Amino acid sequence: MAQSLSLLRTTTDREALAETLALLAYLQYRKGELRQARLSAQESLELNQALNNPLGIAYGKIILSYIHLDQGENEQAYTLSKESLAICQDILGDPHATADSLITLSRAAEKTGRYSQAKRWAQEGLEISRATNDRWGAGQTLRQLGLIHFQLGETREAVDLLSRAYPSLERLAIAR
Amino acid sequence: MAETLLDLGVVERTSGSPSGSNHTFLQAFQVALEIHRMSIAWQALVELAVNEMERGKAEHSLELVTFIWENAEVNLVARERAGEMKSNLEALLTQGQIEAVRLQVQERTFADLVQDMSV
Repeated sequence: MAQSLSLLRTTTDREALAETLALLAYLQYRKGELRQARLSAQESLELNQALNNPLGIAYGKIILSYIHLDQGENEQAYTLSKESLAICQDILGDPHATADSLITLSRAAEKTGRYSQAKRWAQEGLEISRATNDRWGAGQTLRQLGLIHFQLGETREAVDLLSRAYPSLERLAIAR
Repeated sequence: MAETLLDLGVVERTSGSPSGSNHTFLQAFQVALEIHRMSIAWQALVELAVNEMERGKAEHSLELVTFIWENAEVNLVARERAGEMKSNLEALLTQGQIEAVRLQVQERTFADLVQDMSV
């Protein structure tokens, strides 16, 4: 990944560089390297903004939202997720990207105590994920709904939803 | 996937199912190791330590959090929680008990811990 980045920096292919940086940001985030992930995501976002690439901008904002959430910067995550949702839903009409935005938006809403909004967005994300046969999205939105019910003190519903989320994600991992 | 198991374990603990919660955290630990998500594996260990503390097994809980605290590879979130728990647990135990735990932890590697968790 570092080699391809170095190579891409010597070329004029800014789009490929932005995509690679976004992928790197996601991998760094998954490894818990949040500081590096933030730098990569920010650079990818700025490149996509310069290229006027709405899908790249939306995913840059989604990755940054995850990083903010992990660092407890929930209001920033909420703002970025709302911006990515507006791009994915209103400008692009892309169901997969819309569901991805809804997952982080619901999580940010839950973390900031906006439970009814969080629930509505998670349910919307679940419906889209099911309609597009997106198991990852379905698993993540079920997990999110479980967390919201837990925050509301509805532990039985939370256990049920999280127990349904896990097999959905596990099947996906096996399939991959 | 492993994060979902962590969430489920926490909810099970709150809903009064400590054994279900333990089982789920162990599963989260194993899955996290398989998919190389070490930050999740460390968090699962912290949650197992919380369960041990709630079961009144302060020494075993201290053993786990000391191991986490002293491991250089642990991510910040798990390390901070382990540090906080370590202080609280040490306040509950005698100096002799703390020293015994410290010696036990010194003799163990991460591989030993994984072996124990697999049993």
